[in-house]
Amino acid sequence: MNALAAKFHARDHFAPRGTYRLLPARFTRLDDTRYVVTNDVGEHVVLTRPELRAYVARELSPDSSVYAALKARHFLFDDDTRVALDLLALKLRSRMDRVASFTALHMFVVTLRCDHTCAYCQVSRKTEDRTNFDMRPDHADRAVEFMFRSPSPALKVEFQGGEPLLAFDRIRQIVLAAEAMNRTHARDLQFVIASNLTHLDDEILAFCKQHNVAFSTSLDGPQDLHDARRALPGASSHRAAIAGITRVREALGPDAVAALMTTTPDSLGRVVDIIDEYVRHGFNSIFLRSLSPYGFAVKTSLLRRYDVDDWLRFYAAGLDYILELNRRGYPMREEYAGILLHKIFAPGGTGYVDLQSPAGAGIAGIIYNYDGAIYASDEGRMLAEMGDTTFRLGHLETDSFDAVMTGDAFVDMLDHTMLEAVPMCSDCAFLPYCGADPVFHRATQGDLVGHKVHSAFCRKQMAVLRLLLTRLEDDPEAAEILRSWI
Amino acid sequence: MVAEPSAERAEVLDLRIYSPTAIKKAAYRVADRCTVVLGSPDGDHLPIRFMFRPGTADGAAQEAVRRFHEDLVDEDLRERLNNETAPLRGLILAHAFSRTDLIQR
Repeated sequence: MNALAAKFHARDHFAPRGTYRLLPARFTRLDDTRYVVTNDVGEHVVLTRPELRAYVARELSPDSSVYAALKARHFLFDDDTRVALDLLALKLRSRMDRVASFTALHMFVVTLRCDHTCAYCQVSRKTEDRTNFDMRPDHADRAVEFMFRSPSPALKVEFQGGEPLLAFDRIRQIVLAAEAMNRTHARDLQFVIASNLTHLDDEILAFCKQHNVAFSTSLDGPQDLHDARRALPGASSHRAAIAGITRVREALGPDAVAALMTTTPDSLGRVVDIIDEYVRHGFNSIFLRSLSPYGFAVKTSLLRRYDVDDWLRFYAAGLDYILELNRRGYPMREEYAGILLHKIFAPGGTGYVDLQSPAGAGIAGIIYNYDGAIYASDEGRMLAEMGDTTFRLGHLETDSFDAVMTGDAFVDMLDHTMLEAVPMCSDCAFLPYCGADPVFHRATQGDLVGHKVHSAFCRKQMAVLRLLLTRLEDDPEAAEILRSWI
Repeated sequence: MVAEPSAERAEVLDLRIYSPTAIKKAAYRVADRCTVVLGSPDGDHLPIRFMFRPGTADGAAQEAVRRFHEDLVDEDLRERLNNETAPLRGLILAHAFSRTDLIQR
């Protein structure tokens, strides 16, 4: 044997062996003939039923394209290489790292006061003059200290209400206090105000410019649709929102304001009008959101006027129209699809609170209410306003960070929301892309887990994921557009 | 058409083909369409009853039973996959977190 030959394996070393071992996987039907197969780190393949059976029976030929795809994405390993185990462990650790570096999103309800009377409001708003519904200055200071106890390297402060600009002094106090603390902590600190923009003034904009504060607002569609549910006594909420968007862009830059829409019964047949309204005002993204079962949406019976299937038809039509806009050359993305696509294709997933296992409530986001109470999530405080305090973790005056984050309310919630141990979820291929939404299930079924066949959350998730995966599989042009949203 | 006979339907499953766990999981999955009542095993045979809500149409009842059997085949395949890979899943998890300071943090 010459020296060169000694450095290489003989040719037969690389020949297919014909045997392989299965790696952990889950599968779920995509449609009548195909299955989605995923593993714990979110890799996926789509197989026909015969291919799936052959895979599990270890009857696949090593020469087949299916074998190559399954091997490349760590669904099997053979004698050629066992690196799959190491790679899976590494990817799993990366994916779970967010649990250790918990809570990136900190929401401050600086006031419950609001000038709007929206039919679907999730909060129990108060009239503008009732200042006893503002966050106290000492609670604001305690909340900032609490926030910096989170180990997360990035901290996003979101000001909510009510209408937070009605308590701008408190916002100013919190921003300045957080910046002062951050000189020592050196986190990636961001601020955003969720506002209807009616109370913007030059002083507020100057402060926001100086301290890099962005805005998020509501835009439900064309004026008639927007004003029908977002009532601003004596004025048009839509006109105020558009004027505010223009003003923020001029003062802070084109990307300093994002908009969100909420689907009402009036929206259902008008998804194209809604998206066109976003295009008309220069937006390149839209979040097609369904109503949540909390607050005024329940009191005003809005929720009973459409169900998850109605919303899914609305969503599918909207997604198709957005893809069409992209084909025509206008870059537009749908945010919910973007979040799910990120989870499908990016190993780290996203911090989106509703799609985490264990639940993102408390880990991905936490909320400090105007009265000093600490809740696991925004929806958790909304449920508390309806009389259910399951998600109240403690109070800024009486409870330390350690007490809150190791308290029974928080730990019990985590314990119940590991999808890997939830009936049906534990076997579902969509598990790596989905999440536990304990507040939704508490509100609709009375417990944190819920029976998934009766869950509108599960139905919505399964349908949207099937829609996206079908487009990715069957429509190369759509797939290219969808991948560009990651 | 509303058919009274579809209010209940009986079958016998072969436990040599399907495990009780696979049967229970398939029954759980069709809980929105019907209730599957598992009887006492008689050797390798397990009697089951599909109970439908009053007023369930015959076609809907048939579809629920068909769906149960389809899910049962999937559950059987899942069981085979999980049985073979469960030790590896434990190994990967242990390997993933063996050298982190996750607990100390």
